[in-house]
Amino acid sequence: MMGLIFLSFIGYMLLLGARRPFLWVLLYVYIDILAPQRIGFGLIQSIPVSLVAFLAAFGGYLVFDKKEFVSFSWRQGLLLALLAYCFWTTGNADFAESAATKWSWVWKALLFAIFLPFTLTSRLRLEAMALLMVLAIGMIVISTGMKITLGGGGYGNLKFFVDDNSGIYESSTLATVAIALTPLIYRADILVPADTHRHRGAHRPVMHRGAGGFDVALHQKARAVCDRRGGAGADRAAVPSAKLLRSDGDHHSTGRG
Amino acid sequence: MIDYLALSIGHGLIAIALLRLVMRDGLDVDPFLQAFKPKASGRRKARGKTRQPSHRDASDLPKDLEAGEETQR
Repeated sequence: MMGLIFLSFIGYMLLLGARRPFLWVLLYVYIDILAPQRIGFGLIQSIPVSLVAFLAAFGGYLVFDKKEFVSFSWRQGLLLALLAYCFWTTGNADFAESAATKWSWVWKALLFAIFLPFTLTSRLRLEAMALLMVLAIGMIVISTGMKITLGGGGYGNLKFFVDDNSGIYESSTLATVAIALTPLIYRADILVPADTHRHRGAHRPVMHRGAGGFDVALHQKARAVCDRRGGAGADRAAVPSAKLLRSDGDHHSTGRG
Repeated sequence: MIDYLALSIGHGLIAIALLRLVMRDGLDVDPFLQAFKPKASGRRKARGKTRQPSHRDASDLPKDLEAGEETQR
């Protein structure tokens, strides 16, 4: 039953992605974090949902995306170097088969980490990605947290959705990620247009000032791309980010929390 | 039971968020970033391939930014 529900949800995301292919990228992130194929039983375990989602995300980007403001950063280059190093060490390992099993998730994660920045080309995409991460990890945290609070727990005694001490389901990893995501939880205006607050006459709360983090990241990326192309962005090098943000209509967002 | 509760809350919220996301025009094309595009392509054509962009050229600033600069001065 659970498997069918998860499959229905994946189908729902695939369907919505037909209109907005970026949703297939979100689908891969959702599957990668929550691993519904390991929670559910039956049909979902026999379908390579992760591979399907990756192919949809990659294919959707190649075919449908406008690919504006896309740049290859030095971080992606570093990840590419790590991927090559991973490939070389795995191939030349003393126990190649065991090494390949051990590192199979590594090269997949590296590959997607290189690919992901190409797709995050708008503020809304960044926010949607942040929201999905918070909600997907929130499901694991809420469940595990309630069990610990109500029934006690301890090292090795946590009851997750799956009985597998790997990935996000490793208690130390989950604790670290949960704490690291705390600032994102305060992003109250996710998916709500900034103008909505002003039109309602409401004051933007203090936590909205933290919203600038995304703005700055994205605008710096846009400026870097324009800079490389010899466009207007290069000439804005001396303009502080805060002023750029004001032109977005977000008069309260300063880029600093 | 707790698992079902957590999964229901999370999936319900994701489903709603995705539905709202699909209806937003800014998802694929960021309205603010579009302001960079026409000027970038225009200047690229004007300069040709050899000349490097200057790092200080007030003519490229959008009007609202220029106004902001002057107001501060």
